[in-house]
Amino acid sequence: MNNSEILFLYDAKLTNPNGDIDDENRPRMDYERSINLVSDVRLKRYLRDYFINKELEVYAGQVDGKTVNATKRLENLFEKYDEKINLTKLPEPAKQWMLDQLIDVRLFGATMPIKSEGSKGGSLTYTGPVQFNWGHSLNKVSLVESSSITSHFSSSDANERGSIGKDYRLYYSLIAFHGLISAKRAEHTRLADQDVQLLDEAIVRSIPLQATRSKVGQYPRLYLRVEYNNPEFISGDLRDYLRLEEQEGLRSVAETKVNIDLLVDKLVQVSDQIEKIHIWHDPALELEHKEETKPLTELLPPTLQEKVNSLEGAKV
Amino acid sequence: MSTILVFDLKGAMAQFKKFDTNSSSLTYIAPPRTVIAGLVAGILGYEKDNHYEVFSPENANIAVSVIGWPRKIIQTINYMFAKNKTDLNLSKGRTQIPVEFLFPSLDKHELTYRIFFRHADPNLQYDLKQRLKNQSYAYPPYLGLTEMLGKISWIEEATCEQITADDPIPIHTLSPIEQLKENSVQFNVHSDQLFYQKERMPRFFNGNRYLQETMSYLIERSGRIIAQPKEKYFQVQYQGKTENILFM
Repeated sequence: MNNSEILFLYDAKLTNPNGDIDDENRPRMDYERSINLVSDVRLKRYLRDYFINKELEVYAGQVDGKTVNATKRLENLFEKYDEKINLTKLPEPAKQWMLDQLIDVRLFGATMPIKSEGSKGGSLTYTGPVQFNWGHSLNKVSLVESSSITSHFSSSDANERGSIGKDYRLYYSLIAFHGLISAKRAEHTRLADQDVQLLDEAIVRSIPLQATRSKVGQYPRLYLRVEYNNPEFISGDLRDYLRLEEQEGLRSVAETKVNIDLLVDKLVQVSDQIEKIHIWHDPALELEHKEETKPLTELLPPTLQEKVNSLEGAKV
Repeated sequence: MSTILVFDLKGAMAQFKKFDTNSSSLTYIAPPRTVIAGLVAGILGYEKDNHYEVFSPENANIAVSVIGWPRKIIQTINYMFAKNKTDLNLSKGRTQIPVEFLFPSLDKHELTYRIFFRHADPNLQYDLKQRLKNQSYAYPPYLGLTEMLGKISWIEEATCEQITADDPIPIHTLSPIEQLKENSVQFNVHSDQLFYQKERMPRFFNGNRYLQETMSYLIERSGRIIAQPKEKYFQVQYQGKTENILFM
């Protein structure tokens, strides 16, 4: 496997992309800069929920609708394994088989209560090959001023009427994430190329599916996975090379453009190291390069276009 | 005269967990020596828990400058609730932990830490230099937590010289307090930002990943202090400038 770096943009309109539970569930904010923040945990939860909906085996989740502890969960899993195994002395082939079952562990890692042959201590820790930094908005965001809502549900049985609560939303946030796939860590969790394709799919598809009351109004706009041609090269946070034309007072994706001149320069600069560029781009987000506005693939110079793998196809 | 590797560790966010905080994860202002040793070990491809001796203070000299005073923001994170390892599959639900993060100062878009590193083994130092120059990392760099993805800017292999100070000098790195002569810190009373901070940080782990030693460091918001080192300090020449450093 090769290293990949991910640039993912999605937006949130009249919604709360990620509340801070200790702050009345207000959107996470860097208030001094009016920048909206979204935790890596939030993004990974969209992805994990997507895998669960696809009925893939996950480690961090329920088994048949029931919550069981990790030991029980693994015992359950190993019922499908050909041989009887002992979790306090897990042989290498069984460990590999286990990883091949659990998509979330292969992608994001886990700590498991397993004593394996040749390892120290009573647990196995896998560092996730796929890591996302916290997302942040490219624009300056503002809170919808009216934040009180009424509810039919009362706070106690004695109350005849419903209660009044708080519901904080942002007008508009264009959120950018930086992610990384480490080939070396992938060896440890047996992450396979088809898992990475599934990750591509999940990132592009999962967020609109999570249309709960507070998460409605969110759409993916741009996904770029720069796959390098070796397992050790890393270029760095691709968000640094985006320039948002209109940054304040935004209410929708139609009111701004992202200038990618610097991003293209960067990709050209490291093009010797690039194997493929996997792209999904919603044309609703206008990208501008050398004063032209087109779909991303067409904006790239020919040397980079050769390396593009479009994700517009049937699967995504 | 010997040489020392100079490079910057950069990133959008960082979290260097204080070892003496628990239910709230507070952060140091800069990466402790253990974090930098782990960073270098990861770049070189050492496996977890397999490198503590290689980067002991006897073998590896490490210093760090803070470039641009970071801001601290607390966010409460929805972690898995776990009393023990069998809970680590979300089976006990979630728990909310306040976590303090470092963000760049308002005039910068990324955090920057300048790292000075040299090693007793010249082959290791050479290998590291090649990797830093070529942006080739066995394990990817990060700032404290794996999700705080980082980036490294190579600067140069600089010359460094050991010198004894007779007077207070400017020191450009986190300064171990025990290496400073008593009452030698010169306060710049004219500064509008006079702000000193003491950080007690882990220094190194033993082979079982237990904390072996901590050390207290002094830092000023401008990134340098003026004081007299008790013993020898190192003078580093790079990019046409001279900086004085103390190893962590």
